[in-house]
Amino acid sequence: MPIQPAGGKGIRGTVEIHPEYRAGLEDLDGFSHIILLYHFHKSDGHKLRVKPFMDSVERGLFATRAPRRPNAIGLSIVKLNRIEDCVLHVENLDMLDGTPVLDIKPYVPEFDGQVDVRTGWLEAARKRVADKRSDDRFQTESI
Amino acid sequence: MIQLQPVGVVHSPFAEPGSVPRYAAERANANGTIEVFPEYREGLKDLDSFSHVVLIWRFHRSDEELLTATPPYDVGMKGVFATRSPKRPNSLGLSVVELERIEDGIVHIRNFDMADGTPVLDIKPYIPDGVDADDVKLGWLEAVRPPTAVATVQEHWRRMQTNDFSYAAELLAKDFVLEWPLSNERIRGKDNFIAVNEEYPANGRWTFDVHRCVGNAREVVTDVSVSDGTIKARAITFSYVEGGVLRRQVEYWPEKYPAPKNRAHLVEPLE
Repeated sequence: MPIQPAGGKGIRGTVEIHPEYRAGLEDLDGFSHIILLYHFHKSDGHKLRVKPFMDSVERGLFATRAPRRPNAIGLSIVKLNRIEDCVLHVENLDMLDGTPVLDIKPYVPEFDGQVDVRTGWLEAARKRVADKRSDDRFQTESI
Repeated sequence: MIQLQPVGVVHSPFAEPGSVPRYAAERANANGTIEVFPEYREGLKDLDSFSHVVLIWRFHRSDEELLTATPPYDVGMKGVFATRSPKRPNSLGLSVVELERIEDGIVHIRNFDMADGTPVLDIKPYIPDGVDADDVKLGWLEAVRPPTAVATVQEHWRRMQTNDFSYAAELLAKDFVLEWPLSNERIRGKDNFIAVNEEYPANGRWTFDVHRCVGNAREVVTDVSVSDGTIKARAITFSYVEGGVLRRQVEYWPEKYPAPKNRAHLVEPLE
């Protein structure tokens, strides 16, 4: 799977909303981008020091996006292409199939999109992210 | 089902959820801290090398899970997932905030919107999302959205026109920087901005005539004629807006010069 949103560019998928929450989707289709909060359901326990996939040094957990966290909540910003009934068609997806979604929020640049930022240890690694994927995916692709 | 345990708690000037800023401009100068509980502090290592963090937290004052919400604008009821309403399934909040520094497990933050006592569930480094601001559509929010960068800069010049430079400085970020490349000068902070305007030996009231004001979600360029009744000058200003306030300006004060004779046969005078 892609390891950062930039690595999920162009990948399309769907988010299926359980029918009892359908009324909450009203008016969402006018937004071009949405934030998904979800459960890292394949992740178990946590470690406070992790060696990120694209780094060779141990980092503090909260300075990484590693899935094994005290509260295993993931965050992705995806493009919303359309909504059909209870199904959101989205793009730039970096989530595993079957991921339980906890919340959907409209993406608002004034709040959610900062541009003048420092990204610490990730600075150098970030440039490589778009090309790099996690090991499992690499294997399936090479089979 | 997922089990959630707070990893820390917010200490904030907003005592009640009702006093929390709802618009970007109002939260720009908010200062607060997250007290990360001792057992999780080891996880903060290296976080201080990031300028912004994403906080995931719980709307602890509202466990109501409604499917519709009435936003703080006169737009009627909306589906809850098309809003940032606190009364939502799973009661999760999300904020991108500025990270000032970390001291002994206390994370000092700016520009945020959480009430005092908010339980923090996760802290993630903020990584640019790659979303092109010009591609973003904001649905119902489009018509009522908080002031755009262009509107903020127009308001800046309107306030300059009042000649009350303290009033104008309210729209500046705490760490505002103004640069004048042609004279090789940099002015740091609101106080110096106010002083440099007030101390200038002006001949009369300043007027600011905005000819053009164009920009995208964060950067705005203006072409402004400035005069104190005697001196007349023109300023081309690149303003950088974040959180509803001006963060940085780079201002060019071009000088007139006579048209070179060698190209006279190719040009005509403007006026």
